Amino acid sequence: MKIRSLGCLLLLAWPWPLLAADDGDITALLARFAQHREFVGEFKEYKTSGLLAHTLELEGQLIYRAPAYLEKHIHKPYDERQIIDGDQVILEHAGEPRRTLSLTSVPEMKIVVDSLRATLAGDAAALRANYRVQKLAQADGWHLRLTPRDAAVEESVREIHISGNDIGIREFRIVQTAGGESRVVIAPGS
Amino acid sequence: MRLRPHPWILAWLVLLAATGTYVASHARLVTDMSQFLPTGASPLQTILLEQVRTGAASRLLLLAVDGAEPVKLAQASRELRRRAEASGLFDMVQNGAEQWTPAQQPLLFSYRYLLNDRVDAVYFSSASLHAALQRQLRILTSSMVALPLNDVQADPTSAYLDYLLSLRPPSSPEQQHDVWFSKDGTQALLVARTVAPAFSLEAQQQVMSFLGSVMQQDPLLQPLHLQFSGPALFAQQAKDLIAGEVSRISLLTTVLMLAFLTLVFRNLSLVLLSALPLVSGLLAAVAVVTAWYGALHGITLAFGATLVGVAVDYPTHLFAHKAPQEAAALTMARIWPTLRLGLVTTVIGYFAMLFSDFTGLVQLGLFACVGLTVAVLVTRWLLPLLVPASWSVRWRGTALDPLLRPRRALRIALWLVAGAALLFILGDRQIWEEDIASLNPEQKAQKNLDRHLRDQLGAPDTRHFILVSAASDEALLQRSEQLRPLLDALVNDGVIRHYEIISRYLASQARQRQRQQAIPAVDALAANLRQGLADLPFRADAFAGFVTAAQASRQLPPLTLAEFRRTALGQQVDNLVFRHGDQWFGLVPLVNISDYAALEQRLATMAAAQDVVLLDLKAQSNQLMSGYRDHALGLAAIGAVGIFLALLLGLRSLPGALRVFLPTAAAALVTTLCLLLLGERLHLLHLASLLLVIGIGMDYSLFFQRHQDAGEERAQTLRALLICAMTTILVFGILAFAVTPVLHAIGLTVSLGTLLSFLYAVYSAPRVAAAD
Repeated sequence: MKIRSLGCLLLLAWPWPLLAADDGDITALLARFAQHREFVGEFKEYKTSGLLAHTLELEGQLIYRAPAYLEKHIHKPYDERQIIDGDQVILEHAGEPRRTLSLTSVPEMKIVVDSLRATLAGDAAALRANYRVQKLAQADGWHLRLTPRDAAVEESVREIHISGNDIGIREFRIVQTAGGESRVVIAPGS
Repeated sequence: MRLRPHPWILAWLVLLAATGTYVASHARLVTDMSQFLPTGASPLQTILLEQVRTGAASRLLLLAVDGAEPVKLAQASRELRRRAEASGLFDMVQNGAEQWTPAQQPLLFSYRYLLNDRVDAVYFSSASLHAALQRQLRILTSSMVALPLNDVQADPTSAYLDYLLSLRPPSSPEQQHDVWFSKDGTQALLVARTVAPAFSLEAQQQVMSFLGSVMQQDPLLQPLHLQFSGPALFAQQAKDLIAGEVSRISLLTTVLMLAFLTLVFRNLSLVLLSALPLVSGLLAAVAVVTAWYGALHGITLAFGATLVGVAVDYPTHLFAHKAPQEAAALTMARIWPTLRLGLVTTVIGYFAMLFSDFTGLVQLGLFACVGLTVAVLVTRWLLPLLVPASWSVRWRGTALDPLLRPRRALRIALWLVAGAALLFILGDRQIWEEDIASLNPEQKAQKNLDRHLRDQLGAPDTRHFILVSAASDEALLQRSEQLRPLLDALVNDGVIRHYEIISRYLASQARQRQRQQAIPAVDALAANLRQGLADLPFRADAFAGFVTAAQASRQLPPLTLAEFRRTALGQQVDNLVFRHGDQWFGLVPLVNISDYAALEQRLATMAAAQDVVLLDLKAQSNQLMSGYRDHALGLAAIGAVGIFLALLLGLRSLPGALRVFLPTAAAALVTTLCLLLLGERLHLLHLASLLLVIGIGMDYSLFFQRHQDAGEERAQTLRALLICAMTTILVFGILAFAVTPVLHAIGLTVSLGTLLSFLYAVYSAPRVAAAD
């Protein structure tokens, strides 16, 4: 039995770390990302939805270690850690038993995560396999728009925007097909 | 060859032609094991076996496609499903791509508050709603992508999603690209159910060839590899395997036997003549059994082949005892009393089987009695007419004669071994094969594949069930609901891992009405929702759709079983509920039983009522089989007494009877010992083969015990026995190497038994007078 919604529930937001970039083409831009093996930074996330009376705000810490470790540690409004290590997904919420699942068992999540990893690894080919990648004009820095190629992913994610300056990624924004969006602003960590 | 138009030859030719025509037009082979088994079980068992044999579960095929990247495999999975659905050969095909969103399943979605087990008065309280909304908020906060807005608005408590999740087995298949995959991601998995019943081998063959041709012709499915498994496939493959082996082995043994006999007789005509009794006997046996039962079982025929072992002996005795220039009729007159007594004693062994309650045993017994009698009659009345006096066997084996002299030391050793065999067999508790499944050909690769696919798909095996019966579908649903608390407790306590049951999917109408009554009226529900929303960041009107939907649920007519079966989930309950006449039955498959005794004990309270029965299908069929075997053993014992009495009557001497009976019995005992030492577990076909061994041994001993003092006669008998034994050992020795357990058992038992019978006949008895 296929329960698409379950996959949607588990789709986690994965921000890119700060990465240096220049005005070259997309492949060159991504190639420079590959040099960064590890990243730790603070984030603030702003969520909107048709169900909500006002915008939700989250904050916490982001960690990436090449090649396959991603962690989103939410500090506010509650304490929660979402870890993806290889194919394993670990969810830890304060006061609840830790849950693990296979990334493969949630295809929508996997394709998003794989694309994020492709970006972090600077693998333009892998990224283009799952998304149409466009470079948009931006006054100070750069701006990529990713549009999912997979219809199943497109049912939940309309597009992803990543932007940054020559220091690295500053913001990413996931626009949901169901309405509402999630905007993550990244500040370099210590 | 100069044939005289003797009336017996004419009569035989006419009979042979008539029988042959009858067999060609009427004989029908059945391989269905359950038809061979006794029908003395309870009516409930009969119904269940019938359901297992022909029901939804028996028609399942588990499929796996591999040989490419996951993306390509997923595409292939969808294509295979499309082609299978279009073929009309399947009434259900699933690959995990079933769509369950509310928009795709509006009927199930609209019944969510009537289907969900958690719905009660508390479910709609302000506190419960508050908790559910907090859960929604958390999902919204933590995840990147939320549920479609409409679905959350109409179902903030996730009643529909929870219902679907409650149907998932604990180990459901992995998914990639929206279809089922094996855990390692190398195989796309599908489940299909054939329209045709599993036992309809022709129809199943059609299914197999459809799958084969689709895999070969469809460009989307190339160059991929398809594996599949299922009860129908097992039956088909077992049949193919046995049929293939039988034809290979019979071809090989026929050639070898002809070659051997040609070498010995140095005369092709004699070799061909020696086949006449056998062919006539087999034809007659097939005809009689077919006429009596309408069909011949595969096991009976497989066993029938063993009669070759004795039937070929009859003409050999005639030819080997014939002196040069002696008329064959005279030779026959000399050996006839012995041949006749040999036949009578052998037939008595099988005759006892005719009084069995078990159809299968009666078939075996009838087949043997008819086949052997006809073979002897043809040898007695027909062969002497066809063998000219000038023909005789030119024996080249005289060099062996000194070897065949009796030896005292050997005699003592043989009897010691026989005594040891008796003690060993009496002391060994583990001589019987209790697992009926081992009678089927060893299809290890196929069994492993089946286990692998079941494991990956989370499909239960079909061994342990609870059977619930009721007078109506509603009563069945209510009874199943009463069972659930007990079953849930068994799962919680680790007695079973999981169970399937119809009421997991559909509540009884009575319970659905209770749930409707638990839904508050519109104003009360709206007030509860307002309270539930307090302190949460949702918009006040975000869940207005929920109040409307809950109110609509109160007015719905309860969902009936018939309506439910037409939904996308309906296919999944086909093997959980069935109707037989006026009775309704629910099957509750139990997965991973860790403690069968505890299960039995805790079910006892429920099962005290006659409508709930715990069943272990494997144990039941094994029980049937061992009952069958014990029965056959009892009959064989009666047969042994009959044989001894016949010997006593025929030989009119107690020492004479003992001299024939004891070596034969000793040979059978030592054969059994050898089988056990070789690691065999005995079953029915060993037993039937031992009966044949006793028949063979009896012939040997009888021939050997006559004319102790006549040197030439003894040499002739030795020759005859040597040829008989070598032929039989040759034929059955080859059969012993068969991989089909049934054929292997027959081959090993008869070849070993013949060798030992020969040894005991020649060496075990002291010679009354030395001829040399």
